[in-house]
Parts: sequence; structure tokens; C-alpha cells
Amino acid sequence: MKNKKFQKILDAILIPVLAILSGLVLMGVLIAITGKPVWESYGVLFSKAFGCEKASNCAIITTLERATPIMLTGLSAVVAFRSGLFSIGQEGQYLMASVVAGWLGYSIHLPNGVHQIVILLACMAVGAAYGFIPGVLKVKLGVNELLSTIVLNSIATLFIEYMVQFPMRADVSTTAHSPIIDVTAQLPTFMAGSKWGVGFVIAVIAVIAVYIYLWRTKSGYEQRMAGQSKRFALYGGVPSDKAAIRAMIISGALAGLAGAVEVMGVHRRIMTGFSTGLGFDGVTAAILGQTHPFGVFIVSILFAGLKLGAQLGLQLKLGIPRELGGTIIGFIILFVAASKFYEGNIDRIRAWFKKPDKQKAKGGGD
Amino acid sequence: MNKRLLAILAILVVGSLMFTACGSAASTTSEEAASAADEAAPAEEAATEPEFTCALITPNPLGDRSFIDSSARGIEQANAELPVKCDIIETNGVSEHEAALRGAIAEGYDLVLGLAIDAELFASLANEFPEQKFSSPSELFLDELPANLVSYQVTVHESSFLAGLVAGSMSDSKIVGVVNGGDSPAMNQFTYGFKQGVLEVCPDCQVLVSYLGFDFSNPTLGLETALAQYEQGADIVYQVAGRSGEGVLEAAAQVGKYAIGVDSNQDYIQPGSIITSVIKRVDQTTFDSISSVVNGTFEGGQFITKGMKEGFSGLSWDEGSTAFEENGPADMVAKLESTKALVEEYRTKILAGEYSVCDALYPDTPECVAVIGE
Repeated sequence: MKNKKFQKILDAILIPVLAILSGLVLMGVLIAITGKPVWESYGVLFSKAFGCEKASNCAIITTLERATPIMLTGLSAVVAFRSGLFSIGQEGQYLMASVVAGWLGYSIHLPNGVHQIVILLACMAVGAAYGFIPGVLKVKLGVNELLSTIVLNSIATLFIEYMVQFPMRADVSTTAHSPIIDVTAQLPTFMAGSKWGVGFVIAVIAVIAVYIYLWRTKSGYEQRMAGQSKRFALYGGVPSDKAAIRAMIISGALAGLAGAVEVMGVHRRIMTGFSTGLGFDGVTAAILGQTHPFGVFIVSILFAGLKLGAQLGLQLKLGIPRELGGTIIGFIILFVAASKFYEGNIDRIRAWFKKPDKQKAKGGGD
Repeated sequence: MNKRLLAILAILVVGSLMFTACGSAASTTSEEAASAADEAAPAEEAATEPEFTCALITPNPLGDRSFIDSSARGIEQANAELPVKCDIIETNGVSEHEAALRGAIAEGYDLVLGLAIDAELFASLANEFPEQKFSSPSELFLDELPANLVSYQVTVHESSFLAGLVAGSMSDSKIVGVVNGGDSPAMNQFTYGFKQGVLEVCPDCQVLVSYLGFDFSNPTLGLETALAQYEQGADIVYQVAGRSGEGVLEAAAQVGKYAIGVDSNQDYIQPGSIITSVIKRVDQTTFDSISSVVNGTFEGGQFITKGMKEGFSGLSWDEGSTAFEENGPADMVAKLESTKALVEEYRTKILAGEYSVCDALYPDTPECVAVIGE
């Protein structure tokens, strides 16, 4: 029994691992074509992503910091996908919450400890509200959540630009930004010279909370059941409409949390160009992470690392374009999407292995 | 059971090793060639060994044919003319800026240049690393700079005014347009200066202004917006919209009308359709930052404002661009001479302080009230 469970986990991990390996192999091929040293590139990529040369500038610390928002938006996507909703509204929910975090950070003044919690809760509420819109549209009017979230993302992008250019703009500046948030609104960091801090802890807690919710509670079970088969869920007495709206609210709250953490822990303000697609990175992390919270945890760190390694390693040390990091991620996703290819072959190889196994077992019996 | 999986994984790993081994074998030859070239270069002059290194962090990827590329040209120029070795670190938006800056600092560059980086972030890093020299080739809005950070500032409202004079005096339809990336005070420095210039020579001219909602990387949007302005009767459109602005230049060529470029010399992109370009010499501020450190004249903690007077901002004509003269239609080219004379007349006046142009960052000045009120 236990062995079977272990097998199941291994099966779930196998395809992403194969996809990542294939992506990295392809990266080697691409680098070889450009005539740069391939072996060295791998070393540079990984040391600049996950290494730690000096305590003052530790790559892995920066990677963990950059992984934090991807982790949260990834979890947001997991909750939606598991409930059968292909919502890609993470970016919009993330941006809306960022505006609120930036605004509450300087407009209200509360004691340390209270201020942060108020903002975190407010951001989750705003994200949830922005997730509620496509949820209710889907349930009441049958509007496809993919389309409505795309539209809501655009609205949020323009809204944050407007807010930062006009009502929340601080002083004169060429690149518009809001005032710095109060010290009481900032999330503490673990070490000087890095923004890695409490935000990461929040993300880790969220990973565990989402796992417990989806797999260990009744309402989480309803979510997953509604996701796998809406009609069956209805037949089994699960109010699937309610489940869909609940999924969008939770998903929105998680994406909102990502915005709060990014503003309170990293930028300490919002500025023009704040939208850099962290919400979409979350969607890809969820897909590659097999729409599982623990998968998202690992993949978000890997993504952040690949990006950082490509930027500060490949680009700086070897003059290989930064875009290669994104290209590898793209390939990895492609390989995951093509997982059928692996599945077929794995089954065949497994069958081939199984034969001698059985014989051996027989031999043992004799 | 998992033994088998391990076996499969092992095969894959070995396979990937073989793959990469082939790759590296192929690349060694080119590496050798490169190192041979490297050896050849220092052999000529041992003195050219870079005594000095620097890195430029760009706010977005290269390839905007405008602001960022201009700064990159400054780096290339420095690499070619000064005994330095400078690298460019591209980023993709604000979320990557800090990591890139910290990475550059950790690499131990002598000078770290940050283009359009958030001012507070830049200042806090400068305070955290007081031994590191920093420079911002473009504007930083701070009350006070740390002692190891220099900020250059290139003013564009005056050169935009000159472009306005050009448009106002060359327009036949008496309608000219501005396609602006976004409605913000900094972007309006271009718009208001231009508008003031148009109305100065052509008081009954109409200036259409369209904003693109801060979408600086969407040439299709620029094209559509410009086509709409041409449709409304505009015959000259000034683009201030980064990569989106390339669509404006394209639209001018499509309908056989005219455009004015921005930041870099863009006259060559659609020869004969682009009358002139407003130049913002970020390449020069980049180069100056580097050369100041090389010459030992680097002095942190100060703002260095450069404008038309110092030749850091102006029109592409100042650089001897003749793309329009050679490719433009005869009737428009015929107007160039008088237009250029007019431009020079106002340039002298502005430089002498006899005429002031609206700077959108200070909207309460009388010249701005007059323009914005229109």
C-alpha cells in the first residue's frame, strides 16, 4: 500500500523532471549553435541561480525572493485549475491588490504589526473580490472564465498605470511611482542587503494551507470533485456553482496575497511598469507543478532561478542573451504539454522491465 | 520498481551528457578562435588592457531603436574609445531591476550605470554600498543624491519646441498630431513643448494629441492611432512612444504623409516620410559617466543637467541628417531652408534666455498655463 503511494508520487514527479531535463538538453544545443562553451554555461547558470559565493550576495537567497510571488500566483492557479476553472486572472488580481497595498501603506498609519496584517487582509479581500467577478459571471451568465479573466487583466493593468500616474503619484519624476509605504507597513527581511523575508514564510504557509484545504477538508474535496466532473459532483450532492465561486474567491485571495507581499516586502511602493507578468508565471508554474501545491513550490523556485541565472550568469559572464532563460522555460512547458509522448514510452519501457521482474519473482518462489 | 525508474533517469542523464559533450566539442574550436583573437589584440598594445570595468542595467530589453538603444551606443562608444570594458545587463521590467543591480555590484564593476531605475531603490543601494560608484544616465528625481551617485538629466522640452516649429511651418493642412506613449508629466514635456512650437509659428493650427495608455511596445497600436490622426486631417505626426512609435513612422509612409521621430535619429527608418527626429543624447550621458570615472573627474552626489545648450538634445539635423532632404518630395524639401532658419532663430533666443518653453514638470509657469490652457 505504502509502496503504491510512493509509486504514485514518483509518477507525478517523473514527467516534470523529464521535461526539465529535456529543456536543459535543448538549451545546451542552442548554446552550442551560438558557439559558446556549453558545459561552462550550465555551471554558470546554476551557480548564479542556486549558488552562494558570498554571504552578502547569495544567489539562492535572491532566487527565493523572486520565487515568492510566483509561488503565490501559482497556488492561486492551482486552486482554480483543480476546481475545473481555467482562470488566468492571477495577473489582474495581483495588480489590484498591489494598488491597495501601495495605497494603504502610506495613507493609513497603524502600529507595527497591526499595519501589515491589515494590509495583507485588505489585499486578500481585494484579490478575492476581483476573482469573484469572473466566478459569478461564469455561474450566472455562463461567461467563459478564460475570456473574462483576460479582459479583467487588461483593466487591472491600465488601472494600476492610471493610479500610479495620477492619484497616487509622488512628487515630480520621469518614471511615475507612488510614495514609499510606512515602515510599519513593510514586511521584515531576514538579512540586510536582501529582500528575502517574511513574504517567503507567508508563501510557504500558503503552500501547506492550500494542500490541507484541497486534500484534507470536505470543502476541498468538493472543489476537486467539481473540477473533475461537474455533473458527477452535482449528482453526488455537491453544489458545484457554489464550489466554482468559492474557488475563484480563494484563487483571487492568493493572487492578492502575492501583490501584497511584492509591494510590502520588495518594492515598498508601486510604479509604472509594475505589471511584469508574474501572474502568468504563476500559471506556468502551476501547469509544470502538476497543479499540486508542492509542485508549485519547487517549480517556482526553479523558474525564478532559471531567470536569474540566465540574466546574471549567462548574460553577464558569457554574453548569452538573457532571453534564453525564458526560452528554456518555454521548452519545458512544451515538453510537459507533450507528456503523452513520455507516458507512452515510459509504459513501454516499464513493460519491458517488468518481464524479467516477474520471472525473477517466479524463480524466487520456486 | 523504482530501480527501473532510476535506470531510466540515469539513461537520460547520460544521454544529456553525451549531447552536451558533442556541443562543447563543437564550441571549443570557436572558443579557441576567440581566444586567439583575444591574444592578438593585447599583443598590439599592452596598455589597452582594460583598467576599468562598468556595467549598464537597462530597464527593459534592448531593441527599442530609441532610448535604451541610445544608451547602449554610449557603452559601445566607451568600449571602443576608452580603456574600459563595459557590459550591458538587460532586464525585463521593474521586478528584475534590484537583482540585476545587486548582481552587478557583486561582480565588482568599477562603475554601475542604471538606466531609468527607481530613484529610491538606486539611492538606497548607493547608501548600502558607499564604495561603489553609481551613475544614472537619465533623470533621477530625488532631493539629494548619495555621495557616490551621479544623475544626468537631459531636458527635452526645448528640442520638442523646435520640432513643433518645424511641424507648424511645414504643415499644409494646419492640423498636426502627437502620438504620446502615456499621459504623464514627464511624457508631456514632449507634448507641451511641441504644441507651443506649433502654435508659435501657426496660431490657427490644430494639435491633435493621442495617448497610448503606457503601451510603449505595441507598434500596431501606434500605427492605428497615427492612421486615425491622418484620417482627421493631420499631415505631420510627432511620435513619442518608444517601440509603439515605430508604428507611427510606418503609418506616415503608408498614407504618404509625414512624421517626426524621437530619442534617436529615426529619419532613416522611413526615408522621405520622417522630416526630422528630436534627439535625446542618452548615449552621450552614458559615455560621459564612464569617461568621468576614467579621467578621475567623477564627483558623486550631484545632478548634471544637460540640454540643447550642451548639444545633448536637439534635432537630427544638428547631426547632419539629410535623409528627408534626399528622399522627401520636392514641395516639402523646398520648405526646409526657411524652416531651418526659423529653428535657428528660436534656438538662439532660447539659449540666450529670451524665450522660455513650457516644461510640463512645472505646469504653473506662465508659458505652460498658456499652452495647457489651449
